[in-house]
Amino acid sequence: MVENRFWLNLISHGVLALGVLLVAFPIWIAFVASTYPAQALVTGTVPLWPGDQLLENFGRVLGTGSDSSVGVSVALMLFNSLVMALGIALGKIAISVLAAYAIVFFRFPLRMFCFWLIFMTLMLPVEVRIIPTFQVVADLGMLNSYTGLTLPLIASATATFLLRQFFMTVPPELAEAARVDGAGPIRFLIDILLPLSRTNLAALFVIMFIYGWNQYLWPLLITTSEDYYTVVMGIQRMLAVGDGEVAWNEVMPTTLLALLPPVGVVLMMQRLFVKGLIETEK
Amino acid sequence: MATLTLDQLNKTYDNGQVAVQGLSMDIADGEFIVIVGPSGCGKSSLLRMLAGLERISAGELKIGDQRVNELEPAKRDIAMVFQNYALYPHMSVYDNMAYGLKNRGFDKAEIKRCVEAAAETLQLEQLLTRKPRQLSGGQRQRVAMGRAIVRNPQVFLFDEPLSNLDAKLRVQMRIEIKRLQRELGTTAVYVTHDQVEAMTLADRLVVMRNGVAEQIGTPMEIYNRPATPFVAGFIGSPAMNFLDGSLARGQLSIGERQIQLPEYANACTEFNERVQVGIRPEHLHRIIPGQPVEGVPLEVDVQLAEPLGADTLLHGRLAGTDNQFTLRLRGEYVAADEERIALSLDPSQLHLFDKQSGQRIEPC
Ligand SMILES: Nc1ncnc2c1ncn2[C@@H]1O[C@H](COP(=O)(O)OP(=O)(O)OP(=O)(O)O)[C@@H](O)[C@H]1O
Ligand SMILES: [Mg+2]
Repeated sequence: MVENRFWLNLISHGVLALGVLLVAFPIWIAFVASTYPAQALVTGTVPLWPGDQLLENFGRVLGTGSDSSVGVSVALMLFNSLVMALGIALGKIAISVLAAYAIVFFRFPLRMFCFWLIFMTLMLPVEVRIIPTFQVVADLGMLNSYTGLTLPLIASATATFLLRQFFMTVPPELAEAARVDGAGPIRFLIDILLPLSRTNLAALFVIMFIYGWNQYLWPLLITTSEDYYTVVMGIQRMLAVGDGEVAWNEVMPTTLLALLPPVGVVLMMQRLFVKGLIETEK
Repeated sequence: MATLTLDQLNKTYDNGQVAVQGLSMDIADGEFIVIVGPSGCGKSSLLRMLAGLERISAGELKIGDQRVNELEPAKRDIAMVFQNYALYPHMSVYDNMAYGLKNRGFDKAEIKRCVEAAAETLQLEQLLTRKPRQLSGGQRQRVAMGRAIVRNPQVFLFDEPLSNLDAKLRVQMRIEIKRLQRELGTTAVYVTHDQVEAMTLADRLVVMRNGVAEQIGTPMEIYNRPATPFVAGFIGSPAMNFLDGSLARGQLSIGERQIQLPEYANACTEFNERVQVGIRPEHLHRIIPGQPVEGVPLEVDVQLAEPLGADTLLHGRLAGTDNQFTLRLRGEYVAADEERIALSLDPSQLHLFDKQSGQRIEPC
């Protein structure tokens, strides 16, 4: 049956390679496109091999406020995106840890009611509640601010729920041992619960960071000042040039730059992240 | 190092379950108290009330002279060893032991000294940098002990600390716990459902049933003079045999058989009172043919023999009745099927219980 396994191996590797190609090819095109001058791309076809304008294109995009259609440098947009993604990811984790901790480890009136209330908001993603949320944020004067970008997206039923499930698997004796050892609730959270949730927190951070980074509709709605544009909406602005020519040689480098932080986060967290997804041992 | 005073302790859970009822006792400084009883009788509930992990529903608990009902566990100066050890999985053995001291604000050097002393006592020096998951069950048990002794608390509380170990290790740790407790002179309360642990460790034993302490006494007191049939059946292995009978003016009747018990002539019983007669399996002796019979003769039809090496257990029926009967004979004994063996019993080793009140009847 060696023969058979050989073919099986070949086929499965073939399928995997095809998958990699499907994902990688557009990125390659984007890379190639970002190495040509604008005129070379006007025709709509992209050559398969890189040209010689790589550094110029990236330099222009990152440097001075370049493009007429956006008006700010990509560097600033990247920074805005980073603030938003980090704010959302860290904020979500902070809030969900506290909420899940309260729900699992404390007995208080309406505990289950609170849990279900949080749980129900799973059914209300940003898009559904976007108009009232916008109203609230506008009334609070938070349009065009980092607070406005991050705060409304911070509450997270998903993260609360996942952490609750994890906290429930922590043996209650651990909390009791800590109580006997003289650790108050805050000490227990910091010294024992959080270190035990390390991998889960890393996984949540990755997911939430990417969620925050990819936000499009919300920043589009509440930012009117270019100073608060995020890179994802910036790309859209670059494309919306009406009858003018799309500067592909600037859009593509921007796209590639926008890809980097999430990829970086995943790579950095990869070890913990994979552990957090598969590990049951505590 | 403190006395413990339990005054009418009660525990009722929120769902109405009464786990402990009217439990009172005084525990002396340095005493080793073992709580035994069947599953669900409220042993853990009692221990957790002592620890402060469970609210005391009614009654008063004092450690030394101080009422501690409302005190947090950490403030009671107790240490607890849990059944599953509850070691902090992400901390090294050293940190596990140091954690309680750290929270109490000891300085680094002091912590190091205490932990190292405890580690030496328990032979954990080599393991201080390991994580709990890199330890064997027995080693984890030792670390849990180390975490308890390192603070030098007033009282040790143990909730079935040995039940996750194999038989041999259990014996070893049992001896070690006893030795440690003796050395440190710390008052200890120990929950178990293992009779051997109970008998060997205890200065005094509390036998619990349905949340009530049925009897409190030294192990030998409880073995020799159990207060109720439940205690009599629970302590001792194999369990005591019970027969129905009646007692009147020093004469015990079991079925057709009459046994004269002059010591009980004045026992405060009604005329012809129904009693439960308890006979321990180890208190019956085989009659060697030709020798004079001492004590009360009994005959048993043997159905099954279990050789234990030093002893042999025989299961069968009391001759002429349907009563199941177990014997423990010294040495090896090869029993033929359905063999009837003649036995004798020293009447002073009979246990009589009033059928109505369920209390022991003392000779008087
Ligand atoms: N948190 C709780 N809420 C309600 N009832 C409880 C709770 N904990 C224990 N009980 C009940 O109280 C009774 C005594 O329980 P406890 O745990 O003290 O028994 P135990 O003697 O330790 O038994 P085991 O030997 O099985 O550990 C049981 O009937 C149990 O079902
Ligand atoms: Mg228990």
